[in-house]
Amino acid sequence: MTGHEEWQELSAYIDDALSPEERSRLDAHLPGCEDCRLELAALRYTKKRLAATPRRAFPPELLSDMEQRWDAGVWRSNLWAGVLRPNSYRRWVPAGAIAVAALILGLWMKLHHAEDELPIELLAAAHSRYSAEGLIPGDMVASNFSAELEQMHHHEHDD
Amino acid sequence: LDAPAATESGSWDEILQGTDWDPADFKLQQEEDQMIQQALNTLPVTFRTAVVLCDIEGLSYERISEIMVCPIGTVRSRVHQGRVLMRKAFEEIGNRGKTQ
Repeated sequence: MTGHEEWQELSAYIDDALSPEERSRLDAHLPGCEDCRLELAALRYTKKRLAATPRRAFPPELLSDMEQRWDAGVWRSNLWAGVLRPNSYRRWVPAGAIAVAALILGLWMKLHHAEDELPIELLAAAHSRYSAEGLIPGDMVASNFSAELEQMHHHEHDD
Repeated sequence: LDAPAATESGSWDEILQGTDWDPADFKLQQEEDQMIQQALNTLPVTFRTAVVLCDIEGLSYERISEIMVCPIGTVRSRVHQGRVLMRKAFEEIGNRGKTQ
């Protein structure tokens, strides 16, 4: 898989994220290059398989619970209490991630006046950002985030 | 004996007619989901994050660049590299399954 500088652009081509000039150049290149066409087909197939991965719906009762907690300032106190406590990594990491998710969620809702919508992308995104920064164990991926939150929610309600 | 068992609301054939649920398909889908999860978990976190946000969460490169705090060119590179690694991981997991 070396020698084709176009390969670096094929994913962006699939995602329609190339500039018009880059796209025209690839459009002209592809008919005459079987290697690139095969690579393009393989990348499309990979994207299709990933896109078929099931995503959990964000439960509305959890959303309203998060809103209430945000209003009450619980997220911030949880975060700072956890951060300041020594050796509390396992406890403060989820609290920190949720606090950031709630912050983004709150801002998003205020900006868009869309209280009835469920902005799972932002929650997942907040989680992913924390994953990328190494604050959350690597075996959790964004698509698990709502399930993790839901589990914590039920756990708290069961207590 | 050949007649389908009757229930209060009709025979099983009638109940199941028109539904496209197939236990074999369900099992295959479960295996496929597990395979994707396994493959994702083999990726370094930056590539995994880019791929998950792009292909599973469906976010644009612009949004991903805001979230990951990096230029769009870096997102483009991470998404591409992530997909290439995913493909290799699929192949490895598939080959492992064949030898077992």
